Amino acid sequence: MDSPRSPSGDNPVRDPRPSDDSLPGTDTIVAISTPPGRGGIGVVRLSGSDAVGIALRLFRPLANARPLHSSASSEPEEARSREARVDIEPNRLIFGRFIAAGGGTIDHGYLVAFRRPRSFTGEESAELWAHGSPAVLRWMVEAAVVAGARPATPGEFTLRAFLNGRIDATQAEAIRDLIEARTTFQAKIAHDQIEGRVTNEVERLKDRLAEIVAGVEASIEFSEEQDASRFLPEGGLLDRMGALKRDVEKLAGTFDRGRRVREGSRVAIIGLPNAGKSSLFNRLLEEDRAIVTPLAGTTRDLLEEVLDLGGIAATLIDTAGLKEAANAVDAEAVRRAEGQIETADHFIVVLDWSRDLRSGERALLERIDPTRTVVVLNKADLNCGLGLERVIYFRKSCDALAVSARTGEGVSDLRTRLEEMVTGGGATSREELFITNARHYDRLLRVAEALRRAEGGARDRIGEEYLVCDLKQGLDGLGEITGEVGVEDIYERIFRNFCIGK
Amino acid sequence: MNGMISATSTFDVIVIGAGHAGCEAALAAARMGCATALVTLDTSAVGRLSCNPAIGGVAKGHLVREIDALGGEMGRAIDATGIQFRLLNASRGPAVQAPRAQADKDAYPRRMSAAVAAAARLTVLEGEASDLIIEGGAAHGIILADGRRFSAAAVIVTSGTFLRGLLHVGLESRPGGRIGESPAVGLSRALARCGLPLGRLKTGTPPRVLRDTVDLGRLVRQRGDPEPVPFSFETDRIEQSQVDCHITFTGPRTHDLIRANLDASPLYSGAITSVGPRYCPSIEDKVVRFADRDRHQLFVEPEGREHPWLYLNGLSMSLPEEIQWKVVHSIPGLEEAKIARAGYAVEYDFVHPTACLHSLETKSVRGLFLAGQINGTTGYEEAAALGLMAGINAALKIRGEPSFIPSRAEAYIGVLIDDLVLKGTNEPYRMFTSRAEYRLLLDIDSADLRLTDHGRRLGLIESERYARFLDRRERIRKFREALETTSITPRVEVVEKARSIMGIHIKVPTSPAMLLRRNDVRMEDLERFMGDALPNRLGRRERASVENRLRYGGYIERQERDVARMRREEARRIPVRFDYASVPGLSNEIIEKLTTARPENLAQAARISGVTPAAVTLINILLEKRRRAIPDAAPRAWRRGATIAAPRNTGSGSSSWRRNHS
Repeated sequence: MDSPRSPSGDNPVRDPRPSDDSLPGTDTIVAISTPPGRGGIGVVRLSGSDAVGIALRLFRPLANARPLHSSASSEPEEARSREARVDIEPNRLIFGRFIAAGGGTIDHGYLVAFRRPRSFTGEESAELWAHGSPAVLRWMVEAAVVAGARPATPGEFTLRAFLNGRIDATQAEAIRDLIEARTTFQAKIAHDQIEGRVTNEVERLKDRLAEIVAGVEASIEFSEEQDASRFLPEGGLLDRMGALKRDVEKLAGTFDRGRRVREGSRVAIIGLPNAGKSSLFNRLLEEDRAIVTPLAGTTRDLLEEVLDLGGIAATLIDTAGLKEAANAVDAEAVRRAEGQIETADHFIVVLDWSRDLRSGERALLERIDPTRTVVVLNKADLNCGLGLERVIYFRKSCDALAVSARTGEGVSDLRTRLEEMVTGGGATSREELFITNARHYDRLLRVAEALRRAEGGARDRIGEEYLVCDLKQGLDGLGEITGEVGVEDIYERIFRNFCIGK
Repeated sequence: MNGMISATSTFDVIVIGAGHAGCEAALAAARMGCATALVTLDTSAVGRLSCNPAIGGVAKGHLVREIDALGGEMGRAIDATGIQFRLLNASRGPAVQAPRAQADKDAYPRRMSAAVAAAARLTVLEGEASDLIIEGGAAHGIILADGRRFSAAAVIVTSGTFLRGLLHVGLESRPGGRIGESPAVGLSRALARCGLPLGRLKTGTPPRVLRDTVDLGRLVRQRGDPEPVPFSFETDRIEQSQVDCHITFTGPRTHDLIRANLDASPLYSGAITSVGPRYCPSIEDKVVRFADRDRHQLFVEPEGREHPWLYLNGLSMSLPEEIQWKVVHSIPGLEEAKIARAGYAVEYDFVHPTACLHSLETKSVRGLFLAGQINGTTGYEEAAALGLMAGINAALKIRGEPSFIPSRAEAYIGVLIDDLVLKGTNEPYRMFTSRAEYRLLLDIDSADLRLTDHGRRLGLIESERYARFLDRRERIRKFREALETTSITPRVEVVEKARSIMGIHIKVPTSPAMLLRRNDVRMEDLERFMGDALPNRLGRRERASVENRLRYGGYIERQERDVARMRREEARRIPVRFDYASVPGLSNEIIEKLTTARPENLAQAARISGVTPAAVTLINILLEKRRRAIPDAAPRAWRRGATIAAPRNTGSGSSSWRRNHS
């Protein structure tokens, strides 16, 4: 049985260093701090008392840079506690890798830790420097949010810097502009149909939660009343909380999809020369000739076209092909193609069905993130030169597809797979509801977490006064999306629903 | 009202009204060294329980504990005169447990009168305060209806339901503060003349019936607790025997009668338009709004140990008296009952509390304090808490010291005042525990730990009591320390003993505190297990409180972190004459709200309804800019604990004055 303390505790990650309480409870904020778009380097910045601790949950220094711990443990808790003992030297670039929840490498890059007050904001801060892929940077922000950070509001870093005396007053004007800009922006998007429907959905969730809170509060305040038995119907509380939590999670789960719809996706076709990348590129476009829009400015060796994958605008990129590393002359071309590997959201890795696996292909397969990749065994119309064992292996390990770009065999399967990957499962329709705002996503995650704790607490039969702490946290989270629920609103519900008054 | 002050007598503080607010105000001011006068229409009505014969309840019992921890009278008075004690929410955690007691309607006021009579520097004056002496924007005294004038540096008005009180029974109405008592009309005019915004509220009371005519034997009996929990930290135990209450129900016949006669109820005829408390609805309201209910619960409460009346709690109404008889007779056990006093509704004036500072001094008249129902509250406990605070702050003002304003994280009293003066109210305000964001920190057992140091500093806690408090605090500290530092090593015999007493298996070295944090170890088992290794000078509730703090530490720490965040915002003080219109980006609505409310710091500003987080940020930025632009004077002037100083001519030609932090 869970101890009642565990559901009540906040984020288990704590800044390992002894805390100085002069700035108690500064929450940690996170944001991409480089301009939007694809740059060579992208920086994700964290600020707040737990900044370094959170950064260390997505970043592992590499052994040769600064020894952190010997054998990488796959058990994150253990790894974390071990790292907790490592002192990260401030103001120094530390090389390492960004790791996914499962332990896989997302990217390589640097961590810089800043100790307060010697940081931009004057607080504990960390910066994560990665390659400029928006996908990687967004992933880092999301991972930081999951680890306990909160997406920064516009201008919040500057605001903190200002309040902590790190920048001068003239710069404060810029923050004000940002806040005003945000208000205007929010007023504008409030009319947006998608936003409007999200707001309605959140209002409904909030209403359900407020009704639960009203019942729990009534049971505390009016235990003497005749209506006391109606406040918390037997068993009803757990069911209602559970159903609500599931619906909040469901709405939060639409974020990824919403973002893909808004931003589209970049799909790079990569592979060694002569694997049939360009034929595949053409074949995929051929199927969609009617809606293809050629993009101007795709000179050099890269070719880009946009196609509709399940309602999402996907930019298909034909890369030059990774040359064998032995050829030094082609170093530049290889570098550019590799740039695509770093900045694309999804990949089609094209292998040649008709010949044995080349060492470059082996290296490529090791580098890519399988969750963002479709492996294609091209030239399936020819005799199999790859070897039956390898084919079986690829089918099993990465669900590889046998395709012939020349005959069109397997291409519709490939399309289906691409749609699934790009949309995250299922095509989008105009009626579908999804959230597109990272702040909303963050709040919904927190609400679901609070409801999960409340559910656990109710199961452990903790007192209503504790239960309501978690429920109210959930209510506050929803309130941050569509407007606060004040205590008067709760009383309004209590006196409307229940007959109270001796 | 001009200069001719020819007072026959001069006081430091004059308190108008001797109800629960007035008594606490007068006692506090006198105990703090002020020559104090308590003015009442009727010296035999001091501390009277005009409505229900009970004190305490959830949140209200909390307030009484806090009043007591600050040296107020209410807790000791009810402990001495209560006739039935029950701890509410006993099955829940300590944060929401609260004592409630049936009071003896004769003994309680007698006890309160005696305390007033015994207090040094406190004079009781009988008469109707019909006017205030206001000069240069400051209160200088009062004038009684008989023409006597009294001067004082501070006047506290605790007028209860008497300001232009209007009593309703059926469709008849007549002026009055309570049945048989005349209203205060002149005083209401005087307050209006000061520019104070008056509003109108309503409350009601049920019929009282003669005990001898009720068949109590047929009703469900409700007993007091076998081990009553006292209100006052000074009371070791409640010694007196307890009496029973009874429960009965209205029925369909009752409801038909009420429905058939709604047009004779002033509530439904349109005679009463003012707002009554939602949580204390009349039976007319209950029958109309919850038409599907076939019965409503009533508590039949004795008005005293010897008192011949019973109070029908839950049957508040203002139907004509002959209908009230029929209604009462339709209720089981009351078929033969004789009504001793019919139920009635009363409408009265209050002053919108946003007109007051947190010290309860009015913003427009210096030295004029308002406390109790005049602030828009309902309930004896709320009134007493406000009275105590007004008394304390009037005395501090006279001493030239800064106001005492407990924070929302420190006391329900802090929540009460902050809610009233920042947000105002449009219905009688009653305290609920859910009004406190930091409810878990405000349990009844910690009231003295939170407030008694303040009480001592103010001069309201005598040395002997303070010594007892220090001893208690030290015992708790030592006990908690022992729980944290005593080590339990898993030797064979220890493991075996733990298994047999606590039913748990100890594998690694641990401490009693660690064991309590698990939810399967109870304090009493732990103590049996530890034996003499723990200090055992704590009472049962004290141990339970410590146990709870450990077991639910995560929740409590979370609220403590929230408090720390709020304190940071509180530390950002807003200068008194801060020009909100100069903040770029604030809407006119927000500017107006902030200008009226005059929050003293950023935390208060954020609590004003309609003030958005973005607005708070914008103000914060401007404050910080100004702080840097004005290097020396400003930061010192804005420091916490600023005091009330001399009036400052605002130049607007009005008599208004502002608080000046110096």
